[in-house]
Amino acid sequence: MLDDEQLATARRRNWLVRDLPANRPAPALSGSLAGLSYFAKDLFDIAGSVTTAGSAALAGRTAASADAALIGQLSAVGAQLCGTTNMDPLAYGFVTSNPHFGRAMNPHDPERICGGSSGGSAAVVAAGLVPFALSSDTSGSIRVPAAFCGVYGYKPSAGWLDGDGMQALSPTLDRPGLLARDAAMLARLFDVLTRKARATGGAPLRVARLGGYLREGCAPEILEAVDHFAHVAGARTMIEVPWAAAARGAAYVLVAAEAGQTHLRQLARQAEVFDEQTRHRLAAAALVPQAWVSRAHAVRQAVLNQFDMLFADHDLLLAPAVPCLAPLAQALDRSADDDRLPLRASLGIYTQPISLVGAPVVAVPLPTRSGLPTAVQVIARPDADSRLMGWVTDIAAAL
Amino acid sequence: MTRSGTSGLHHDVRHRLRAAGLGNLASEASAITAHWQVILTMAAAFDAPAIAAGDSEDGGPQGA
Repeated sequence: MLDDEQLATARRRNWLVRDLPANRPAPALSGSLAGLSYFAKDLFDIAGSVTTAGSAALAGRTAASADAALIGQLSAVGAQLCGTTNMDPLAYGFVTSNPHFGRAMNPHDPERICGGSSGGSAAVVAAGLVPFALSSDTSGSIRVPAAFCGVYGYKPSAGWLDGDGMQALSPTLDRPGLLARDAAMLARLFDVLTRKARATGGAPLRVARLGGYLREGCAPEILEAVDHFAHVAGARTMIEVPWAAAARGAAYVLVAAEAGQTHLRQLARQAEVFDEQTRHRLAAAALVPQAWVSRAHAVRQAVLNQFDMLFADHDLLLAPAVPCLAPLAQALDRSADDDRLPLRASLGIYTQPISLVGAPVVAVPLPTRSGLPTAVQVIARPDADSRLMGWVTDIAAAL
Repeated sequence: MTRSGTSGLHHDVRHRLRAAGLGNLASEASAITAHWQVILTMAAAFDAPAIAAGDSEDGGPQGA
C-alpha cells in the first residue's frame, strides 16, 4: 500500500481523482498479483461509486452497482485498487488538464504535461507509486502519456481486454489498456487479463520502421531514440505508408462524431454541466455530418486492407509515439513550427492513424539525449497480440 | 483565413448548432468555431464529401 507521503505527492501533482468507497471489500488474499497495488483511470466503474470520467457532467449518475470487468479480474487475483487517476474530461484530449482536478504534472518536470487522456495513470506508474495502472486508448490516450512519462503501455486488439464497465468515448475505437513500469509487469498482466499465452522464441520476427507521415515533423532526439531501438531490433527497412494522413483524419472525425453523439442530448439540455473547453469541443464534434462518418468508415476499410498487406513481408512495425518531448504546459496552444494546427491538436499525429486500423500496440519507453523520455510504438497485425507481447518481453531484456 | 472567412465560418457554425438542436450554444459559436476548424482540417485530409455550407463562404471541408 502507499504511504502518506506518496499520496500527498500524488494529490499535490494532480494525479488522483476518486478515493474508494469506505466499505469496499478487500481483494483476494492469494493470487498471481497478490500484494500489488494499482490505480485505475477515472472512467472504470467501481461498485458504490459514481463513474465521472473526470467530468462534472456525469456526476449526477447513479453509483455503479458492480466493478468494471478488469477491476473484478484484478481483485480475483489479489491486486489492490487504490483509487482513480486524473484524465482529460470524458477522455477527450491529449493533455490531462482537468478543470476540476487540475493539470497532471509530469513526474520528470512539473512544468511539463503528462499527456493524455490517461496522464494521471502514467504519472503514478512513472513516479513509482504503483507498478501498473488500468487505462484506455481511443486515439492515443495510453501511448502519448506512456511516451511523455516514460512507461510501458499496451493498447490491445478489440476484445483482448474486457471493456465492460468502462465509460465510452468512441465505441468504434475505444480500447481498455494498461500502463506498466516495465515489460515484465506488462507481460504478467497480459497473462492474467487475456488468459492467452505469449508467443516467445521461434523464428526471429521481421521488423520494419514506418516512414513518411509517421516520421514527419518528429523531434530529432526522438527519431534518434527510435532508430537506435530499430537497430537493436534488427529493423533495417523503412516502409512508406501513403494512407497515414487520411487515416489520421478519418480516425479524428470518427471519434469526434461518436463523442458528439454520445453527449448530444445532455449538451442540448444541460450544457452548463460540461466545463467550457469540453463543451465547445463536443459541440463542434456534434456537428459532424453523417456523410463524413460514412466516408470515414469507407476510408477505414480501405486502410485496413492496405495495412494488412504490410504484414505479408513483416511481423512488426515501428513508429514514434509522439512528435515531441513532453511539452511545457504554456506551449500547448502555440502552433508547431510549420504546422497550422496548435501543438495541442498535433500530439496524436502518429497514434491516430494506427488507432483507425485497430492494431495492437505496445509503447516501449526510450531514453533520449535530452534526459526526457519518449516511446516507440511496436505495432502488430490485429489479433497478433500474443506474438507482439512475447517479442516485447524478449527485446526489453536486450535494451 | 481572412477576417470575412472567419466571420462566415462563425455564422455557419451558429446555423449548424441550431440545426443540430444545440441552439442553446449559439452564443458560444465563436469558441466552438475554433474546434470546428480542426475538424474541417481533418475531414479535408481524407477527402470528406462537401457538405451544404449554409450561408458560410467557406463551403465545408474543401474550403477549410
